[in-house]
Amino acid sequence: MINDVNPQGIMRTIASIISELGAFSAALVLQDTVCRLTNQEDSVRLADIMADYFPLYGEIIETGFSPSDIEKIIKDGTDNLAEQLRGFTSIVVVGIESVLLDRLSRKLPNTNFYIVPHMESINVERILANFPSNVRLIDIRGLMGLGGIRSVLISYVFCQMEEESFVYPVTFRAVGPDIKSSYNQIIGINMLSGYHRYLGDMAPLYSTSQFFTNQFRII
Amino acid sequence: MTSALLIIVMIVTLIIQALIPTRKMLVIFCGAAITITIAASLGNQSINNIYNGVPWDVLVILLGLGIFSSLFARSRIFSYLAVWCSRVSKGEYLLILIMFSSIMFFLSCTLNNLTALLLVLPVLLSILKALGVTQGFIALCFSLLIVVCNLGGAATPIGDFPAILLMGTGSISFLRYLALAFPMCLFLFSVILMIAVYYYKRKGQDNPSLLERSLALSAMAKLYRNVTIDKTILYSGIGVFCIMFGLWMIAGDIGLSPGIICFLGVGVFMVIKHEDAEDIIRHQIDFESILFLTALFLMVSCMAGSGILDYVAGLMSGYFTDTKMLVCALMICCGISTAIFSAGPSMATMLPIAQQIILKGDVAGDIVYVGLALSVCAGSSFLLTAATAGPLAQSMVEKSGLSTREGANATFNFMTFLPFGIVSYAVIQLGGLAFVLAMI
Repeated sequence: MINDVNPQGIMRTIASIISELGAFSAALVLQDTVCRLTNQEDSVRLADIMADYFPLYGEIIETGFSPSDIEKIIKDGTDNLAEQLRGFTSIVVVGIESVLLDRLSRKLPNTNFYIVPHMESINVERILANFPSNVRLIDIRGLMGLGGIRSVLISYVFCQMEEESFVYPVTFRAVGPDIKSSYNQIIGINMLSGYHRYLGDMAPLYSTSQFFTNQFRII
Repeated sequence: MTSALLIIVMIVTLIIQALIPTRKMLVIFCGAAITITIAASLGNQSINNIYNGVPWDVLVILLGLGIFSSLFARSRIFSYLAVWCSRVSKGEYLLILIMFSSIMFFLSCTLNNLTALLLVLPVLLSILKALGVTQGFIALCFSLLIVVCNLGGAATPIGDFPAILLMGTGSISFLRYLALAFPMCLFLFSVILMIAVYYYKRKGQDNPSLLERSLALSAMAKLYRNVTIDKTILYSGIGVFCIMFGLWMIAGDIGLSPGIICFLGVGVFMVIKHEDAEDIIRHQIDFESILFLTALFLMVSCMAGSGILDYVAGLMSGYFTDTKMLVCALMICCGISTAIFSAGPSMATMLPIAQQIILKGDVAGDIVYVGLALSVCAGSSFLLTAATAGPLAQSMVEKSGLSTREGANATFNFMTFLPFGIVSYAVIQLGGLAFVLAMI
């Protein structure tokens, strides 16, 4: 099955959901589908085939976790995150990662979530239909007005290495000097610990320290 | 002289609004203003008579069903159905074609075409994006949906404007229209679907690999992972609709007009879901088409008052001495004028002529009316611009960013629709003519 796989075909499907689910969540959909159809060995082979197209999938496969392991890790991690965010009235999230936000927004029903999508081509109605009523989508220009002592801004950090990590490009645009001073905290959620070989050839690592202040912490 | 002026103004107005669709409201209102001025000043028609010629019941039904559709759509039942279709199709192109066209046919029977498209197309576009399709399949699939939308609309008295006009003006009863038109439209839908399936098989497009299909279905499931049906809207909507349906069937016996029944039913539904209803009325109602049709009806009322439509009917009756030939000629005129001017203007103009012919001849009115509705359906399916849903589908495909398997941007426009449109027009028009000839 893996031998005749068309990486562009796989990537077309992945590209169609990244904007609404998030890159990490899309990679998990691929991992889950492949695991249902084949075995671990084929998953690794597909990771090599997809290395030039979707390296995040390879990074996930390299962790060696099964889809159910990852589900449990995300569940525990999100519960922990929810505890830390309890007390904030507004949580502004830069980028969508559905595997995390689905649970987080339901764990904190009295908190308002404002999501800045990481891509433009989205079906707003469909995204909102998947979340509870305390979630809204906003434009990046709305970030400033939502700041305050009881507001926190969170984004996603992938494959952190010391002070460097991969982030969504929209995070760079969102966390400017004016924003840094407006929010109580700016948090980077560590979506994928460690760093393997796949992402290395794809893009430069973004230096987290370049744009996050000392308020920034990765959890 | 006045009649000649009125007909010239009407034709010029219809041509200009067809040529410049972005200014059609301005054009139709200018046309209506000029027509009323001519009729009132030169034709000695009173303003009250002109207003009385407007079928207000039709406008009430259109408005009411628009509100009902929008409100009922908030139950998310249609998205749920469309996602279910994707799952059942197992990502196979042929099954997608069959299932989505079937669901579109039945949705269009009760919802207006625009609402039906707005509900189903986002799901279809998502699955096509995920699977990857050829340009040929895109053209076939969306062309089929447009035609099926028109057929579904013609199948019931509440599906689309021509049928609503027939019911609203009391030309035909709800039940009679349903009994005559639904089986015929269902048959024509089957024929057109078979043609589409034959064409698809002849082209022989391979399905994606099992992994690609499974991934596409998983992706769809994730995109709609938490979308649930709002049962309070669903149940109350179904309840109200069933009551309205029942009352429409016995409207003649209980002395209530279809418009009043629609008004009452939608009113009750709005009271039950008042928050959503308020939002829909403020932000979602298509007042543009209601105003467009009002202006159009005013023009037709002026023309009817001048006697020109009777004259045209008389001319046709004189030329075609055989009743069957006369009805066939009227139907073909109706189909072609719909392709050029769209369904609203065509049906609004042709109906008074048909009424005159029915009054003069020995022909069963209900058969002619259903024949006219089928002709309008044929004309709407001829050109992409003739169908109300066509430009919307074109815009949705363009905005979706759908690309072909080869990576090129998908196109769905006037020319890609035309071949399928010609075939559909021929099938529906011939089917309609055969129906009328067999039934008269």
